[in-house]
Amino acid sequence: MATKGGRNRNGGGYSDDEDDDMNNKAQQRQRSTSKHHHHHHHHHRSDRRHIQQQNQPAQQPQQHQQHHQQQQQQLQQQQAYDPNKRRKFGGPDSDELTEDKLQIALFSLGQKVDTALEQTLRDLCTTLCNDLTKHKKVILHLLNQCVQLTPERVTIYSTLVGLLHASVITFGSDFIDTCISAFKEALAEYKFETIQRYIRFLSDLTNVKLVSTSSIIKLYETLLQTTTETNVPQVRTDFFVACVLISLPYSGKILSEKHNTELNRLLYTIDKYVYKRSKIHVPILQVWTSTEPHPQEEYLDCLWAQIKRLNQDEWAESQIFRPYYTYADTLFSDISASIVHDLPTIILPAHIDSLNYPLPKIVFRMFDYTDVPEQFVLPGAHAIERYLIEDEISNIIHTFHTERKDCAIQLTQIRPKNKIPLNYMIVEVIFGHLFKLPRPQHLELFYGSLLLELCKLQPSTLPPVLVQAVDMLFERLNTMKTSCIERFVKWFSYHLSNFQFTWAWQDWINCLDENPESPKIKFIRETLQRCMRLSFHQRVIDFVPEQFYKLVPNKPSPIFKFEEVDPPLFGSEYAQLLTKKFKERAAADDILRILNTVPNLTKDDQALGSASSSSSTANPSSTELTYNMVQIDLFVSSLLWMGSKSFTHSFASLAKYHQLFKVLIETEEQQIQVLKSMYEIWPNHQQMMVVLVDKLVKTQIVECSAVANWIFSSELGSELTNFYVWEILTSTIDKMNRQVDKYQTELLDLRLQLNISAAVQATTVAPSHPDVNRSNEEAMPSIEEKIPEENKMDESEIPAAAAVDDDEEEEEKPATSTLKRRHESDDDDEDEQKSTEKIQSMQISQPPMDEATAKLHEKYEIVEERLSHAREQQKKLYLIVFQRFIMTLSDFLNECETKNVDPVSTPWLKWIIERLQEIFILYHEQVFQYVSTFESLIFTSDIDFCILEVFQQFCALRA
Amino acid sequence: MSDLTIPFLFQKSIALSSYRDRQFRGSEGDQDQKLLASTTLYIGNLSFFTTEEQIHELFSRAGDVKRIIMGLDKIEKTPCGFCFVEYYTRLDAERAMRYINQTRLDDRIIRTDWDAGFVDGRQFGRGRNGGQVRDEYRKDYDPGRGGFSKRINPALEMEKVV
Repeated sequence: MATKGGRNRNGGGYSDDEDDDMNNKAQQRQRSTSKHHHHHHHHHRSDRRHIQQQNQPAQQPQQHQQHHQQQQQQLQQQQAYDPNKRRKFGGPDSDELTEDKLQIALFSLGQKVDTALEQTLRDLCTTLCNDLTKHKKVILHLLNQCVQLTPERVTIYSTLVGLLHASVITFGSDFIDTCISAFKEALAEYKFETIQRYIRFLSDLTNVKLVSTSSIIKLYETLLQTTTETNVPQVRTDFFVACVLISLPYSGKILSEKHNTELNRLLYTIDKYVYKRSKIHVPILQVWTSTEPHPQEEYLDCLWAQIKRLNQDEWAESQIFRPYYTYADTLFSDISASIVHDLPTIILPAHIDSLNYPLPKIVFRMFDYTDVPEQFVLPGAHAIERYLIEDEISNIIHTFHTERKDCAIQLTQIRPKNKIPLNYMIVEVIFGHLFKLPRPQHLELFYGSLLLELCKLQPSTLPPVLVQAVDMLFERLNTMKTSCIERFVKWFSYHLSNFQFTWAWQDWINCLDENPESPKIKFIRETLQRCMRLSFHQRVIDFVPEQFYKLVPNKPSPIFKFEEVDPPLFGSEYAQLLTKKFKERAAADDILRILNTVPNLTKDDQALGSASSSSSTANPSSTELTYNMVQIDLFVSSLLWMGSKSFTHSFASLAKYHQLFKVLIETEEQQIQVLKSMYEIWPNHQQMMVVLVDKLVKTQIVECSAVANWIFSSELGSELTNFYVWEILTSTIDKMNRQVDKYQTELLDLRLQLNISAAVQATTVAPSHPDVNRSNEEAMPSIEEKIPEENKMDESEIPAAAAVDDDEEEEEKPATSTLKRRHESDDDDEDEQKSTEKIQSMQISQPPMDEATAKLHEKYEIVEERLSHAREQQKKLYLIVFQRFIMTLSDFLNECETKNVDPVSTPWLKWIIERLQEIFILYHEQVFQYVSTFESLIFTSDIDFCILEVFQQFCALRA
Repeated sequence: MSDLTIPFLFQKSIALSSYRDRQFRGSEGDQDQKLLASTTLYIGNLSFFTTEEQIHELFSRAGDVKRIIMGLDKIEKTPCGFCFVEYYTRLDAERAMRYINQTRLDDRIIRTDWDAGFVDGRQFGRGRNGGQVRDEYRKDYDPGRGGFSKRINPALEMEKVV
């Protein structure tokens, strides 16, 4: 390990990645040839293995062939996926038009690298026309999918649809029919994203003379009717108004030419609505608490300002790519026989209270025109071009988010007009997504890996923009929200780890004198912490300048208090003995016996001091309790010290003595003692604490509520502004929520099954079935179709819910199997399988129908009770968290008052109050379920306004 | 927020590679089936010095990690440049394939691939020197993986002949 720091690093800089890629490939190739070598060797050696090997070649050719076929298939697939290749629709070897080929042709249409779009569109139109009668259903279905899934290419699809409409007389009405039924379906199911995409697409169809402008006006009127609804939340109306606003850049021009009066009336309605909206929710969503230098407008406000300006400019914009104008001769000629269609009347679904409408957003901006080089012109905050490019970037990110490399390629292929600095806008939008509150739409890691790909693709132009962005974000840290700073830290450390931690650290030297709790210092400290987690302590020392050493985390080594102090602490000899026993893999009983020989100090009234940090009380009623704490502390400290070599060692120790934990620990106080002992061993290893608490909760040694109480305990007081503490809290809350979700899905499943079996019972007249006791595969004929489906669901669900659950069963198992668990590799899966089988056998084994139903009912009741218990725990957890927040904050505010300090001037208040905000919005779906309880019990008018304000902003989110 | 994904166009990052474990017990079909449902990844091209903690830090950014099994030299019982990462869910494992494959850990471009599920014994290198086979055929000097390959070290070759 000592040699680590001295390791030679291969490669450096952005462009090296390509070489490394090549290296990796070469290594792979090398390996595959090496395998042949290997076999070769065996044939020459005359050991026993040789004979075994010889038996194989008989099968091998076949295997090889299969393998080869598979490889070829994969190769073909990969070729089909390759977005860089221009595909000709219906190549020479494909006479038959298959659905797959069609799908590929349609989905890859107009991907940014396609330079010959005009011809491709014409070719595709001809092919589709020829096959329209034969494949009508498939073609219509696929076109609809394209509209739903690739919003960044909407105008290309409207062009294609327009061309088809102009060529085939019946196409238009057929297409509108399928389109409208899909749109209505999306409305009925409240698929918000799809609804918006359809409205925009239908609006664009006015430009290809497929949809009548009057019916689009009518559609907009219907949508804006929601502004007159009463007793509906603002988020509902916002959504439908936004549908009109995002469509207007596409339809505004043609509507203003044909229906200027109606259009103006619509705009007037929107203006009135936007003006009267409540905006209490805005601060909780803003990335910065200051509106300088960027106002971080509410999204509807901003979009409305942009549309107003577009209207003033007579709807002239230069950013939307409109290929339909290229085909004016086909689309707009008078001899074209095509008819313009009216849309049927659309009725919006009524409001339902349980519905989660899209949350409001703010518009993230970090650059303005002064930040970009002179040769570029960044559109102003209220220019429609800014919105249109941002929208295009966002859509591409969303469409391609599963393939980071393609995503990066598509982004760099955007062709912005008028000297627009594309890289600045890409970086701005990506950071906007990453910092989005409450949560980013996609995994944080995705945005990080996307930025890496962009750096690779544009090694000379993108990295400088990114560096500038980091510096600007750093300068604005003072007012940046805590949860955004945390994401910034996580991304930045990850990014650095991919570039040898190269950074101009000296540029930040002049902030080192700031208050150690100030945002900039905190940012550097936490970044170095994360860099260390991705590398190692010495590496951090090596890459930062000396002046930064005071911000470098301590070496993450364990501290064993029973060893380090002289004179030794009380209990040291027992700790040594326990450690020795653990090394010998002693049985749990032996350990317990040793623990029981520890003298009970408080009982004997010997004031010698104690090992346990919480054993100072002299209260006689608590002596037993205190004694138990000493035992727990000795046990946990020695055990963790024994397992301190790595995560795996620690986990193995916990697993081996799981039963003993269960014997020693019952109450919440005892659980908190486990956490305290852990903290005493690992104060310098934050990541270790994060994974240990995770394991302790998953193995149900410690409950979620105990973790919450520990986090706000006085022992951890000084740590409360450190990010890892909140990493532990959110991961704990996540586990609680997952548990509730799991029972909820289980219950829904059972409800479904019960309905089915009830229905089956009602219709089945036959009193008995001859094949009742057959094997599982042959289900009863009457329910045959339903049951296999449900089994599938169950199976796929179990691993998803395994987090808390797989360990739950452990509780009931004898000690031996618990010990076995960590040693035997796929034991967990076995457990899962067993429980799946249990459920399956309940469902499939074929007792008479009413007995099966009775069993289902029984199971239903069990799950129902589990769910209600879990929900109670969940509610309790949130109550504890919020209560402890209020206590901690109130204490601090009182202290400030006595000391005559302005609390707002302290960084501490920022760190804690913004964590409160974070918990609220991160878990808004859960918290809203209990909001009335919280309002009446804890967020009452007697608490400080700065706390109450957070609650009110949160409530406004869904108002 | 969104459940929209393109049906089959965007699966290449999680497609099976051409590598198949030769010591898998079962038919090729079984293996493929297991791979397609697997929540376990094989991670390759690690430095010998990369620790479980570092791997956890990176891979937990893709999802909740169930366990990490470090690849060990069969003889020395020290890390030899690979590991298995098991997730609780397929989705999280897919995310690791999509976003971690071919990025850096400890300054090395690492490779992720599907694994049919950890079986005891798999944690050991299969090379004749105890490490991974690939390190026996490597010709470059790789300080993160024990310098030169042991096999092309002439002294060791001699040893073998004797």
